[in-house]
Amino acid sequence: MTFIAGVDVGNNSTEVAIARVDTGGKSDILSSSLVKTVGIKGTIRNALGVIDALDKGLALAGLKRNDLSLILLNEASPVIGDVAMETITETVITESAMIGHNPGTPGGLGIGIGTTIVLDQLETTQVSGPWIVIISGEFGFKEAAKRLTMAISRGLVVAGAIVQRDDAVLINNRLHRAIPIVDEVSHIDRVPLDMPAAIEVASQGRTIEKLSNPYDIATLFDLDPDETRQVVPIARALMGTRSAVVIKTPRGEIEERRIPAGSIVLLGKDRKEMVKVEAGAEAIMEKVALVSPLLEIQAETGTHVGGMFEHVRTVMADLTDQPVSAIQVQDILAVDTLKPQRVLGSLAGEYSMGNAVGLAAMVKTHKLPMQRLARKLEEEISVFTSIGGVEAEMAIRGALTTPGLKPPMAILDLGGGSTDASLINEAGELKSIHLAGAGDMVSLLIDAELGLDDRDLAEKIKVNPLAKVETLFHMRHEDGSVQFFHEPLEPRLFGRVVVLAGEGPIPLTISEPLSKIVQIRQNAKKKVFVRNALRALERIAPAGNIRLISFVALVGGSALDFEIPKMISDVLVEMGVVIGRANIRGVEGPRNAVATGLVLAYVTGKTEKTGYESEIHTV
Amino acid sequence: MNPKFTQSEKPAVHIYGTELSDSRMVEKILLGLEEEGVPAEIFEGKQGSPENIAKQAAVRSPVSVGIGVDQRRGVAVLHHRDLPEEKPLFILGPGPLENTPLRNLGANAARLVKGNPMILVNGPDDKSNIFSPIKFSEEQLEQLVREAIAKIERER
Repeated sequence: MTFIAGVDVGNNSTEVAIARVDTGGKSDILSSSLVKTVGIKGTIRNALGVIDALDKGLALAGLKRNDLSLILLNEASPVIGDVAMETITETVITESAMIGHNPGTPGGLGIGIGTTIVLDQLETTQVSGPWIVIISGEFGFKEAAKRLTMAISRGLVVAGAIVQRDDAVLINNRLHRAIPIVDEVSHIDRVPLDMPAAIEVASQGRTIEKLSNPYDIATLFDLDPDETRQVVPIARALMGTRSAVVIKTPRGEIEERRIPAGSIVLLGKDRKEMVKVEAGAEAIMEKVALVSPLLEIQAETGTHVGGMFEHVRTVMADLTDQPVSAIQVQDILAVDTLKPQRVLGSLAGEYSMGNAVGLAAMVKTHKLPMQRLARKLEEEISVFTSIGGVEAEMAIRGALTTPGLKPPMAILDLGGGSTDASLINEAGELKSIHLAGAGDMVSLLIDAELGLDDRDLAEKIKVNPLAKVETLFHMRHEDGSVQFFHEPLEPRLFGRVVVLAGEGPIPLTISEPLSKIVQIRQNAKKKVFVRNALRALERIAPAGNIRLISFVALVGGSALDFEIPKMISDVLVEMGVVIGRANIRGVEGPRNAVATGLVLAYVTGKTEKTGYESEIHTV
Repeated sequence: MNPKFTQSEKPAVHIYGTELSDSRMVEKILLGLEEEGVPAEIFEGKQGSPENIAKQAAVRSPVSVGIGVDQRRGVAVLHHRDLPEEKPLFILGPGPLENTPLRNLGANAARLVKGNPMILVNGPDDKSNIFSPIKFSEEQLEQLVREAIAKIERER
């Protein structure tokens, strides 16, 4: 009787299955464990995580390291993915010409039009106006209100005001007649003077109507059709805000321009296509389908997209000790997205939503240096270590231990860097595929669309549900249910949307409502996971027809996600496919498929070998 | 009929304290409330520790939010009806207090009513002023440390 261990080093987690093998070749899996992978998959550093996982598994089985007679490592699929974001459009305002934002509390109501003037000059001017008064931070609200009142009593027409401090309501309350006031304008010194300007403040719960409509702007400023065309980006950037200012400057060059994002060349087996990234995700994916099967992708050097491809190639080359030229990009996934971008020339830190393309690329090489990791493990813990089998094959063997499954069946492994799928038919033949785009891509999309600039936080938003802290003692979860607390919630959480992460609620500083964040999260998952699940299954299905696969099992970490399985199920159920999370050995859930498969493959291989030898004996 | 509703009180944050009629502190707090558009009512002549009167104010306020002001010591406390008296939401002082923190306290009282996120001094991840936001001056800290050491030595 011997004890063996199957070890699966994945991109994110390292999993172990500890088994007892008796002399008759029967195996019993005694325990399993899971730890976070240390280092990039396929490097020597993985050994740390492997030893940790082994010790945990052994402890559960009541064994020691020297009880083990063999460690089986997976032959990891030599694929690595990377993601990047390419901006296609942005709004550039060379002459300051607009303010559009949502200060918490603008003052007054309605629309005002006049000429911009600073508060100091208002006292001496002999022109009656109408004026739009610019009040910098040096004036308190009392002083400002006093001077405005004086000017009005002198017979001047004050049509509105732009204020640097958060004083709009205070000033307005001290005037005899309400005027629209926009406050919290950080770069007030950049507001051009002596220019026609319009201010609009909407009532609470509403958004501005005039300044977000190009024809209303044309009406207010008497614009000709060419000029009207030019204000379209301004009107679009102001849509949905509660207050806005538009200032007409003589050389107000506002334009929406296309940024050259570079182009990629798709080299297929029998055809070659070139596509510009700025053409958008749909165009790129159409071409990808056209040249399929894809052998290599080249990107224009010196562009963003070129840099991204260079990066994946370099990482992979380092990892495998191969020249960069030997590394081939084998798949890409392009996704259209919106990315909030700082409007160049803005006065209050405005953002506008620019179009962007998210790109995930995957490169494949010959072999990851798992052999080196095996030697390292032997050195460290003195247990014989060998490469037990190819990852995709082992995963499907492990997944077949799920009750209720039989071939033809496929597994979908939705990982961090790539989406992997394998199919086993009735004859026991295997087919597998690795596609670009998975969990990391989803995080990138969430990060970009919410403008977080914090990939760790995006990752947390991806895997955890949200809630809104409504009072000091309760929060409303995204499903509408309410949770009460005995201890008051911290003030920093109050009124905020929070991510319900394991370590406690994390407040989000972005002002988007909860429903919008949920929508962005779900759309990102659908755009990547649902699309890739279909893409992968089509590629391995008999005759490319997913309906011919009877069973699909989800394995790996993403199968445990709280909403991905349902999204994929919603699509596949319509095709008559039985789809669900794998339940490895009836106990592990979607985890431990490869580690289990390694043990099973070893035992089967051994008995087959014994059978073969005995055959020789009889001859 | 519920007696609470028969009084037809205006929905307002209540501010309790003594000698409030010409108080700079109250004036600044009121500005914060005004900018956020939430009404406040001042009740003069309430005796007690600022925490205690803040809690009383919160209990009496139809919107469950109260502020206690100790003009002489320069202490202002923001309280909510559902919080235990000894655990107010924010304590400012002992003073002298600057204008901005006072105005922010008023704004936070209003935001507590409206359910909007608080203004925190060191940004949204500020953990320093959670539930024990008393900020001491250096002399006060020194004094506290001296007292603590004296106490330890006595107990020896």
